[in-house]
Amino acid sequence: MDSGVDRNRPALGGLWRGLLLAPLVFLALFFFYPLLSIFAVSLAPDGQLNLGSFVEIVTSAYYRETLWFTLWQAALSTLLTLALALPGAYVFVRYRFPGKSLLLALATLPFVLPTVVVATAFSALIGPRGLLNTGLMALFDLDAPPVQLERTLAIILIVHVFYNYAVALRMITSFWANQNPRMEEAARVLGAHGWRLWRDIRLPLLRPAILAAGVLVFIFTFTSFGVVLILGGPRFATLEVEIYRQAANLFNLPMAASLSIVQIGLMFLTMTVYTRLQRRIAADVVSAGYVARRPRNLRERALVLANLALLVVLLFAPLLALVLRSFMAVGAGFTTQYYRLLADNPRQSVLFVPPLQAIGNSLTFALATTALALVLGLITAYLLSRRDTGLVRWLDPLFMLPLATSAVTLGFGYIIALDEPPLNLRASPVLIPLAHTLVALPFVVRSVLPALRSITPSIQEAARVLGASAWQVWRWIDLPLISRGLIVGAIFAFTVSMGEFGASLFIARPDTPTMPVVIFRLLGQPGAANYGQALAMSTLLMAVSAAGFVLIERLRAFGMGEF
Amino acid sequence: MLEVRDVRVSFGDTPVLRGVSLEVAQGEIVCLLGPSGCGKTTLLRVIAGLEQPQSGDVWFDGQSVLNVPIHRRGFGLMFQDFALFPHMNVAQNVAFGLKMLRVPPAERDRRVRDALELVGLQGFEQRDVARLSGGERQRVALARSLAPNPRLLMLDEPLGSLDAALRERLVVELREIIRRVGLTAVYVTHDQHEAFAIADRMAVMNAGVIEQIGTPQAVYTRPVSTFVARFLGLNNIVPVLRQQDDTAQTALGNFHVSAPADALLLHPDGIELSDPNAPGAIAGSVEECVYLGDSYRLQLRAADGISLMFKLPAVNHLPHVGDLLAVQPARVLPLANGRLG
Repeated sequence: MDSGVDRNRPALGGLWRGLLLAPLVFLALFFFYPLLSIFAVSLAPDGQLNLGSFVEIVTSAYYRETLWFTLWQAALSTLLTLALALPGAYVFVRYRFPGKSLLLALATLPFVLPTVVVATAFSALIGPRGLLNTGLMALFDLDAPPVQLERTLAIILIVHVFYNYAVALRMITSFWANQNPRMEEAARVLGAHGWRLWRDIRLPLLRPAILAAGVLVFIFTFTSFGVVLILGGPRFATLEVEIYRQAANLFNLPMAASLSIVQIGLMFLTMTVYTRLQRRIAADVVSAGYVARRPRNLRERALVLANLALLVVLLFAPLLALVLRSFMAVGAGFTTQYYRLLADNPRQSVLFVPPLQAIGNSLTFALATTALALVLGLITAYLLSRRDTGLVRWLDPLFMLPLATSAVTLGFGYIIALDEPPLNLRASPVLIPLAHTLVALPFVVRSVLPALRSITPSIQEAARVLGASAWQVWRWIDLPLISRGLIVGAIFAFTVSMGEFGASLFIARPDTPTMPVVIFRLLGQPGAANYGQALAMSTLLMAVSAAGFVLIERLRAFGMGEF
Repeated sequence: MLEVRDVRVSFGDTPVLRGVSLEVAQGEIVCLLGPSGCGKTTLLRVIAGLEQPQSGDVWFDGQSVLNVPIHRRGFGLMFQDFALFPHMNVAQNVAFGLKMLRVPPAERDRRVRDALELVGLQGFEQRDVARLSGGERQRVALARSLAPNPRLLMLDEPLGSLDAALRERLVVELREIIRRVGLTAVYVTHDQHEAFAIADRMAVMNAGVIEQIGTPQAVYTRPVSTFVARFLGLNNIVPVLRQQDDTAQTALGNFHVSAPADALLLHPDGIELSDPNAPGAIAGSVEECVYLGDSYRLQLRAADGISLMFKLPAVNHLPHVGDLLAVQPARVLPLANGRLG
């Protein structure tokens, strides 16, 4: 009976068809074309098939080392995250305590925080010039910072846990809370308790959620870029960092391209595993789940407190340190000079423009990204909400692909594909909003799509019969129903664009840098003033992201939507 | 008033309506009755303009409406799932059609109030539609389709999603309301009792055609095809082996019929126990006998293994399984296997 649906849109007709093509054209030009260029540069750098860089990756100890480090730091980060999130999930599933839902919501804040901001925040907390070290040095009258974490593996792991703790916590908690409590009760009646209960019952029952969360965390940490680049120093390089170095520092484009392909392949593999696992969690939901209760004795209270303390300290200590440190003068004492310095552009600066101008750039790019992502995202969502399932089955994963492609790969693809005819945009500032739109598009689509799918055809038909034209149906029925999703999508797009680092680092022109790029450049410079400006700008960027996060959480009625 | 002329619709290669014609007079309630998939909803959607027929025409008030867009037809349609707008409260839902007609706000408010009063939902104006019960949602949907004074009201299984007790009460109420407003209505249902209760005339549909149309009494007492008979729960059907003029030969003997027949219906109305030797009596052994209070249900196994079921007034001594009995049918009706003509 759906065959009638399209015939009822005569007013939109040809225009509608044309519009539907727009997201596909965009994807072809600004995603597949750059991606194919990477393949071309990698496989045939001089126009002829040449697998030299692949051979080098396999044979050279250096690249094998990079690949190996990428894998095991991701694995270690994943294990550490799971080990901390599992007791946390237990506390959130079993116990009721004041502020629980607020905490669970706040725990996802890192999701929207730009990597440069987080890296700066951790540097402000435990870096050599951070609060902890300056405090200890003042207290014990030391000459050198006692806590030496910067440029170590430890700080990379800590930041990875910061980013992913909430992801794992939320996934495991929601799965666990919906599980049938009778299974565990049955095991207890049968005599299981203590560690046997964990080993034989809880962990096996939670396996799908733990695996899915683990794979997701692995994906995130596998492609870690900003954190490793900023906090790891020259000693550590993930594939992502190595791609950037090969391309931007060494101009070895074929090698960067080949590394990109290795990464794309590995990502594709893990994403496939992840989507399989995710489907398994979705199928396992039972209606009657666990009922949380207040902690009863000292032991239970201690358990709850310990986990909440971890969450709060992990989440807020670095962010608080960032804000405090940005107002702290060299000798201690309050100052706003770092913020005032943002307007200056001293002659010896690495930047071509005063840092303040970067804020204007970022805002302009973010607004352009939001507008473009909204238009394309809305059309895409309509495309995906159609009932001709054959088409949708092809298109749905197609539009999720940019999410599975790292930003660095994307930025790299842009500079090799879009700086020469037929599409020469190298000199144009539109490149940044284009790249950001690509990253933001899946967020907009996922925000709008559930609302769009909830509009049954009979609602639209009822409006038609009641005298509404095709346009009026959209204005009075569709639009009000998807407005919330549109706003959430817009905020997502804006926040993503403001914080985007990997692609921007490649494509931002020296005279139009974005905030994250400026923060990165400032961090790489010596001197308290540069560091202070990085702190100040990070604080501003964090405020924007946090505001976006609060708005999204307020607007989003249904948890994590389709993520 | 409404005239559907030889409408044909297919979805892909599947024919859904295979030449349907129907006339509905001013102020009449016509029921489309049939099993799911018979095409009754599609016919409704064609009239509403939500579906375009491959051929045929739909006339209203003396002119074709086929090229009139849905929103200009001025018809009302009540959907099976009610299709209430989730982002509007009760009053906003009911006011939607009036807003599209650009009715001034003051009059709009008055007509919304009137419509809600008509369906017995005074004071529900500000309620959230998500918090209404099934019966209340049904009334809001009805009020919404009534408010713009449609030229024709169509109802697609309007009680289908409600439970049986509520359905029985609401169908009478629904009829009352439609009558009071003096509306012309087309009502789609798969429930014969609903159709009996509400229809002036009913059209029984099967596989994309109307098999029989007439008043509920006419259709029930004189079904014309095996499908219609079975759909109305009249299952005492005996195939005709051979027919010569007015005499039809069956496994249960010869019967006098007035028309050519593929099968005969032994109508359960007015059936009586009789002497096995009386002319026209049908003998058989009792297969099952179920006491129902004021009556009992008797299942008889007659010649050639044909099973017949009757309801008889309760008596003191009920027959036992295995007893040999005979019955005398009062009315034997000729049935066709498919649509007549």
